[in-house]
Amino acid sequence: MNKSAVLASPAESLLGADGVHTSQAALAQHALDGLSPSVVAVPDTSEGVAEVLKWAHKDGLGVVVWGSGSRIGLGARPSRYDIAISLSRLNRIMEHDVENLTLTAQAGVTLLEAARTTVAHNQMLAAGWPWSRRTVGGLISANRPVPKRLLYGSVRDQLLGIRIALAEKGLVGFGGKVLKNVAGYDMTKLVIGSLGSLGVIVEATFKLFAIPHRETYLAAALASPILAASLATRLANGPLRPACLFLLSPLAAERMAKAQKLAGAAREWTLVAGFDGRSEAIRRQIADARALITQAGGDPRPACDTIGEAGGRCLTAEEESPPSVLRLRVGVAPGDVGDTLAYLETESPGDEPIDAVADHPGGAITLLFSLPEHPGESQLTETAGRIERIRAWLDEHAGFAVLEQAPAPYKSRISPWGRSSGAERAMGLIKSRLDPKGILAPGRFPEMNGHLGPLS
Amino acid sequence: MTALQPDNTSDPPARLIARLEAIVGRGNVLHSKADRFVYGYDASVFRGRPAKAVALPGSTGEVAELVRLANSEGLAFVARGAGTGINGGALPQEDLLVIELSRMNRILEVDPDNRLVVVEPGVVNQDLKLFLAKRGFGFSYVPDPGSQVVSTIGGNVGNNAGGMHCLKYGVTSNHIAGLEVVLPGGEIIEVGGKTPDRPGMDLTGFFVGSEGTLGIVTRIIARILPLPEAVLTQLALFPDLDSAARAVSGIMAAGILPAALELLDRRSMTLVDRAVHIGFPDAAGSALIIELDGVREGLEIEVGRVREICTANDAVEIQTAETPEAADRIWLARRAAYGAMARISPTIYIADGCVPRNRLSEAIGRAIEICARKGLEVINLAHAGDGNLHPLIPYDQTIPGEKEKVIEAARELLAMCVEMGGTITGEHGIGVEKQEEMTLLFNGRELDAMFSLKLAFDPADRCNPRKIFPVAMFDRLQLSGP
Ligand SMILES: Cc1cc2nc3c(=O)[nH]c(=O)nc-3n(C[C@H](O)[C@H](O)[C@H](O)COP(=O)(O)OP(=O)(O)OC[C@H]3O[C@@H](n4cnc5c(N)ncnc54)[C@H](O)[C@@H]3O)c2cc1C
Repeated sequence: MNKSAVLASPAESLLGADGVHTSQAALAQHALDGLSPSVVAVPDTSEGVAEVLKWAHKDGLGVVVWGSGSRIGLGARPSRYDIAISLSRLNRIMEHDVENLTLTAQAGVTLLEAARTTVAHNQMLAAGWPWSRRTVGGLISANRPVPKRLLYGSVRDQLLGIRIALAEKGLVGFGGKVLKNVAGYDMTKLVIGSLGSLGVIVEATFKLFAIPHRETYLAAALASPILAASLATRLANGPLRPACLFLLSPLAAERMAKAQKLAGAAREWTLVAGFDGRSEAIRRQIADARALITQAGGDPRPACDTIGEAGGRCLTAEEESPPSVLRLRVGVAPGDVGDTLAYLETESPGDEPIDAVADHPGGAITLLFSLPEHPGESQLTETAGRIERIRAWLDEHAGFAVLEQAPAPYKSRISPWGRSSGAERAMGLIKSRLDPKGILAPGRFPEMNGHLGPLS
Repeated sequence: MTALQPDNTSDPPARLIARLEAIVGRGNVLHSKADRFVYGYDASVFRGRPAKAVALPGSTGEVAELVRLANSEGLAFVARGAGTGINGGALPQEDLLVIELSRMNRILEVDPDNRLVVVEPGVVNQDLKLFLAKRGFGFSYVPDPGSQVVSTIGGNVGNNAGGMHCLKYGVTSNHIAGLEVVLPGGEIIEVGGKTPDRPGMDLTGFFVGSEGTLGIVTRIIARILPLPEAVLTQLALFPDLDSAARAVSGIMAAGILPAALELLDRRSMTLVDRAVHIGFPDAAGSALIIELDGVREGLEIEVGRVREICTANDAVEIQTAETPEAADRIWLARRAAYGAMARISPTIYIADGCVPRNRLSEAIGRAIEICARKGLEVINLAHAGDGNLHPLIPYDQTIPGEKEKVIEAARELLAMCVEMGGTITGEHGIGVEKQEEMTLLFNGRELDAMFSLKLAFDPADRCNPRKIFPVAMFDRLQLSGP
């Protein structure tokens, strides 16, 4: 009997037949780096998730959790992959507490579904774009940069509480519904960025915000990334209250221009500043921002009141990249974004213009390389060497580079995480207690899971 | 909870003192009977054991050496800032080494481009604020616990301190970007940093608020925010608590996010009036302080909306401060409350719990009932926007049984908060005060999950021992060995 058949029946006894998929198509759809799971579990209750984990823990089966799948490519090839847990049926909004401005949703709820619920009361979840198909569970575990973090904070500032299924201990809850919600250790924070390696988030409570009266975006063309970045710093550090500040390389700006008239058609370095609030406040801020841009030698374009889904996708680099693209997520201190972009320009293959967008306050740069899908050895060596150089440079600037996507041949040559920051041993220690047999995302984060030795 | 313990511990061995002095220098070890005794106290109503010795390190390296020495001596240790904590978190629960961080009080770096500062843990909260203001950086460090003139950033991190501006800006945790920590075994690690969103778990968030039980924080990277160009402060007086609470809900429902929303009940107004002569009218049964900040243009409109909402909820009087001095005067009504209370009572118990914002008035009403049933006085202050209530209970500790009555009332209060969908601490933390109440909020598996992490970092429970978790969990540990 093959493994699928062996695992299907215990899985079905926990979830019922409609909660377990073993068709070739389902398994292939959940493949990672060429490795398919033996079963896809699709629980429709939190308890169901906990049951599957308990079983996996008992039998030592490898589990990978799937939200929308948008960042599932993060991490190395699983060392063991028996069960894919899909959260697609964990998609209920549990409570929208209008008066207290909180939303409690199951992990598989998408930002779009959350927005549909909250908009009726003129409220919003500010953790991502309202049109996004990302799930709230994925948002937390991948710690996605929040587009308007300057105004609303990042995931860690908006998340109030979680329910999570742990391998050994089953369903537990931490944090709460109130704004000040921590008693004991802040376990909620640990789960942020843990990429499904500590447990399965089944439910989360976020604080909500009132939908602003108006949102407006202003774009400006500038001669260099350094100029654009220093302008971003000036905008963020003065009396104005921008919601977001994005930097686009000429290539990315051109894409933005196609999606949305905002950036203008010119192939230039572009700064996009977004403002949320009352019309009076926005009018004044746009006027001041324009003056600052002109002073800095930039060319401000007409402001516009929406950027839509297509524009938003460009700003946060959420367009589907074709499989031939290598996507590098670079992180640096916000103040180093300009220098980093200037450096990255020098590392562009064949002196092509770089394709990069940066969330300035988040210090988050997404860099795209278009590569031949079937590279020869020299191409592979050359690309791996370039990533290595970039990582060495970033090391000196307290930055990092994570490989978010790459064609298979490259992925086997380039470490997904790069250098370790020294905190991984503490992470490994935590992981070893919450997932003692290491069944969750096994082998995907060696930097995290590999250092289980006792601390000195 | 540990009752006042007679000092029956013997003097620390000269050998230990010599080794401590070798690490931190001669003048930086305290070990006289009196010194050891006072470190059994902090701002809480609880008492710890006298310290075995107190060491005042001057650097991260010295902290690490102290921790390693303690380990090699089988001695427990506790980090201490200014000792203003009110959960008893810095109190020795056994014969241990107190590591006080007050000498590590340097502001190491102001980094305006990244909107960050790097400080040592002993920096006093207000000193950092004044430093930024005096040098004209145009930034402020926002968290402002009532104790800001003395409490340290390290202690603020330890307890994840709150303050008056959490509604819009969050608690200490939301302002910390990275930490250097000496782990219980003596290893030094860095978590977080100037670069946001490093891959992996948010360890910075995990260490903040861990009350010194997972390690000693020796360096802090904290966020600073550009000063708002306008700050508008209003004082609205209402006939009763309910109408003020309705106004709070109304303000939030209108999509306005004030920087601060502070509530005082009638009794606190009376006391404050007696102390600093605000002149509250008799018809006022509650007071709401509303502070809005941001870009000037939108703000005046919001102030107008707030005024309308307060009026619609029966406000008897609304003042808007036209000058910073007038705003200070409004704030005095809130900031003077604790001191006003201290004038009438030798001891004050400050309770701290949270409920969903829309149930605050009901919670305060029930708090008054709980205290009345026990024959206790209570005045109520609240961070109304956060649903965070602070009933202050005055009592005389020289009267036998009085303190126990207060502690009982506090327990009932916390149970009420949990029952109403809230939690047992808004900003003061658990320490020894609420370690048993943790079971109100968490089941056995949840407590075990947290405790397993404590033991992962500190298998022998040497680092601020016997705190946060119910005492029985530590007792079990001693039976079975770590
Ligand atoms: C009048 C008054 C008003 C107050 N108002 C508020 C308020 O509005 N909001 C609020 O949140 N709190 C308030 N507090 C409580 C208290 O001031 C805070 O908890 C404060 O953060 C404690 O700081 P500290 O330096 O005094 O720390 P301590 O009391 O010395 O220590 C507090 C805890 O942190 C740990 N700790 C200290 N330093 C370190 C370190 N370097 N590394 C690791 N752990 C460490 C200690 O072990 C202890 O568990 C108030 C207290 C008083 C007396």
